[in-house]
Amino acid sequence: MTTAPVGPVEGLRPPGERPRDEDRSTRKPLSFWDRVKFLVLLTLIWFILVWSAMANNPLMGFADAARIEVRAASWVFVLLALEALRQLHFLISEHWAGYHRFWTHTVFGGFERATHTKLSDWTRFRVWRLLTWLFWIAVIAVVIGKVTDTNPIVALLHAPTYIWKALPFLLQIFVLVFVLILQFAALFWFLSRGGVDVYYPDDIKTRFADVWGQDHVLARVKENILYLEHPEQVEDRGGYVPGGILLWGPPGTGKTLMAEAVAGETGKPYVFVDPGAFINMFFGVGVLKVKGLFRKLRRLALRYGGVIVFFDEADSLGNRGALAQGGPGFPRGMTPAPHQAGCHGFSYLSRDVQWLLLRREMQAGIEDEPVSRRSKQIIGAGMGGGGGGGGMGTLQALLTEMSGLKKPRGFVNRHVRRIFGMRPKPPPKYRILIMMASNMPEALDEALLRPGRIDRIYKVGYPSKAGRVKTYEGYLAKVRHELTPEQVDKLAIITPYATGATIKDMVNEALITAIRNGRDVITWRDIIRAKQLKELGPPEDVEYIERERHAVAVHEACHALVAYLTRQHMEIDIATIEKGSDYLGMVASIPPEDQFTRWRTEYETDILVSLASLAGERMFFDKDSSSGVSGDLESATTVASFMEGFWGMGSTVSSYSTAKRLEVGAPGGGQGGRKKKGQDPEAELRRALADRIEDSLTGLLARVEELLTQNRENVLCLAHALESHKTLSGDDVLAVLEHRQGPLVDGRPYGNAAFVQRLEEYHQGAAAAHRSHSKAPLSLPAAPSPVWVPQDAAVAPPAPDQFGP
Amino acid sequence: MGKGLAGLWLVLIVVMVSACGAPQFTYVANSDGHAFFKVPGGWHKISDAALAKALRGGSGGSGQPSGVWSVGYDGSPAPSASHIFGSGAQKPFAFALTEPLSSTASASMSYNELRDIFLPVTSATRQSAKTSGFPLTGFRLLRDSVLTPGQGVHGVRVTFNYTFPDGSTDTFDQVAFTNADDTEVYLLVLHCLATCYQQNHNDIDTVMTSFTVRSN
Repeated sequence: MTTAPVGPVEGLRPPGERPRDEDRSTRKPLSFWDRVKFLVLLTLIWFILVWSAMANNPLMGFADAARIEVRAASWVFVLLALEALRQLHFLISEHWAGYHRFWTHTVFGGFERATHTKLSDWTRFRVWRLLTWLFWIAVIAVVIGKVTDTNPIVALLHAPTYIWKALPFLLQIFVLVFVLILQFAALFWFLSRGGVDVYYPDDIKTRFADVWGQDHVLARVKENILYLEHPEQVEDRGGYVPGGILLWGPPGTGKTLMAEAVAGETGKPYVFVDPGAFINMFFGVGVLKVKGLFRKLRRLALRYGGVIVFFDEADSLGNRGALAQGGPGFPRGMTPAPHQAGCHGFSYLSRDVQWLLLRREMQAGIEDEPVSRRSKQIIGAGMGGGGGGGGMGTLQALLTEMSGLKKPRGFVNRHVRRIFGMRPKPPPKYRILIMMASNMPEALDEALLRPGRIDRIYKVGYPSKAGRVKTYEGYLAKVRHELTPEQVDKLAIITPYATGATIKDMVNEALITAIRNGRDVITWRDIIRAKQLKELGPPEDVEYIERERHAVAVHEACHALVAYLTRQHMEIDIATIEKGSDYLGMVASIPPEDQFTRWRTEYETDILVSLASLAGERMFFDKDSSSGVSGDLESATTVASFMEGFWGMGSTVSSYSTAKRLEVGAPGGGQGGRKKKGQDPEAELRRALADRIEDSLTGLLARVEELLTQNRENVLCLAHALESHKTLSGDDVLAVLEHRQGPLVDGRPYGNAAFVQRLEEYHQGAAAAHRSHSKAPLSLPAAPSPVWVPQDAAVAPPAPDQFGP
Repeated sequence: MGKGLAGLWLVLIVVMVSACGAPQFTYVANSDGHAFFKVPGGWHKISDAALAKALRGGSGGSGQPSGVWSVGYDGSPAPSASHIFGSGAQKPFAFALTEPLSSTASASMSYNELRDIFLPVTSATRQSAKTSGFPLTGFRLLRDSVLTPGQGVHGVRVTFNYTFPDGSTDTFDQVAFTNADDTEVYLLVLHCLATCYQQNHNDIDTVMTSFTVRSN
């Protein structure tokens, strides 16, 4: 149990430590001050006593006062004698090794050895504590004895009386202190209110049926509610009820709505925690809030057999920085924020490789986005920032409370029961379901997300097409409309990233458009107008001069035509020459179905569509071209570069970024580390890659030129439709190209050869005006039959087109 | 270092040696620290109980009225409280008293009142005492002086002889003070045989002049 050190322990001294005293044969000499300080002190005390006696009696002289104090304060002389003896002992020890050894080794060393052998460390501690107490009690007894002119033992016996007498005074002090504390307590109590709302069953009317488009998540959430209400289903079989759900995903996808639905459906109280609840002015208020919240939750859980708590915008709780996280593995079911384009969250890679990639990604992220990332509210979401929204300690308090629900609680339970030898009662099973919602899951602390705290993490992503259809149907059911199921389906297709919020907004916008036109029934046209308004913003109402309008129309028509001919994985959503804030016109495409992989042919067609403008301008304006193609070339080059250098879709396989970083050279390019004289390996590498990209783009440009030459009339028809209507929906583009009726545009006149001939003439005139910078000789030809068709004549969604690339 | 140490020890030893021996005087202060006097170291204090008994004329009872403080010192080798009023004291006996005054007593306070505080001194008081059977005779005034030591304290010192019925003549030396607002009276009386008074004149004068009152 105890260990007695036998003999001196050999070992190195800690740095800077002097030689140990055991190494000396005599005592280390004391300094002069250390020798006399107590003697001087005691002498001073005696003189003070003499002075005091003289001061108290005007008749007394020094000699008599000194004589009187020799008797009255004899204890000073006793102490003086003891101190003198002690100093004598030290003096001898300093000069006589044998004497010193006797005392240190035999007397004190023997005592030390004896106590170490006979008493355990704990017992020695207790004895020492007892002696300390006795010492101070003796000192107090002597002092009270002196003050009251009695002997110390009597004084000690009277001590309780003195304490009793002093009690009112002590009580006053206690009250004063208590009042002071009370002020703080009241202030903190007051500040720690608010931010937490409790709803009881039937307070909220939202139901699961109101959540559309997230069926898979909803099913899981429902399951959690079921287990909360019937925990025995899991617990009887040895499991435990999951206690925490995190819903994460882009904004507007229905996370909060889902939580509201939970509140509406469950028979348990529902506690809503305001995201701002944990932002506080004073240190520690957040901790009090968390503790108060969980006290309330436990009470509600006991009273109602369960409770649901929902933390909205849980990222406001903050995190403790990347170092506190578990590394780049990232919580289950999530992709690390900087690594958006990874395959399967790169979780199949080894830990080292994950770290390597994460570091590089974050470095790149910081270099690329100096403003946007850092200006976010949660600083340190990615790198080592730390701290975070909630304030120091709030997050930690929350973590402790979330995993501390199983500890015995209460003073009586833990302490009073123990006095009687009873073990503390285990706590009842608090059935608390913690739900959190966040659109910045990477800003959450990983400790918050571990199983046991948050057991289930669900992504509430953009709704699938079926989900969007259901959502449109849901919102359209609340208004009067004339949309057919097919049109709703089409609408879902052309709004691929629509969320519940944007869908609701679009339906509302369509309703407003209809009302503005004096109707109260939403038509397909209203929906399309609303969509265009939402996506493009209100038009700037800038009028082009005719030849420029024609050039822009031809430019966009080329894009649209090539997209129509080659791009099978996307549908044209909109084509416009309406000038926006940062573009003259645009052709936007959308994927007709939810697709999660991208292929080489798709990227190639993307490049073809981008290059169509350059090829078209050169073809229609006699080798002339505008700077308006810069954006197109930029995207074409970017895609081609990635295909060549990164995605293995070009003529080589190796990754350019890796080749550059590791200086290994590229196929057919530079030599990397082995540098020839006057050769820059990176330049070589770059040249090799640039050549390949240029080759690839040139080949694709030739293909586009060929396509456009074959479809010259179609380009002019589309350009005419754009010039006439400024904005065409995808269906209208198809209608023009397929010479049929579209929702806004009648495409049938474009099948008329004579009309197409007029369009060619108009174009020639415009091209000539372009060359001479003069006014166009011909005005825009009108379509032979009425272009405007009533809404009910809108066509059904188009069949797959007949044109192949 | 050694010299300093030796010097300090020397100082200590000198102080301790000089402090040896009994103090020359015994210093007396009343309970609230307002009145002081000193008596030679050889005089003995009369115990409070014996003094109280003697003051009450042996009538028993307990304690003194509140605020009253008294003390007796006897120069005799066989000290006794009876010497306070007894005749034929061979050695000086000192008695001191402080007492708060009632408002009526305070209002009528005068130097004559102070003179007559212990024994009748003024002629009027002596006359009335004589008619009421006061036993002492042969009054002879030796000294009557007014004292104003400062701080508003004022009083008288009177020295006089009286002959006891047994024929012995004692000299009484009395100092009586009252404070500035006449709310407290301070008295020191010393007496012994006239011959004793002559012999111990120096000691007695030291005691009487040491009587000091500090008024707060």
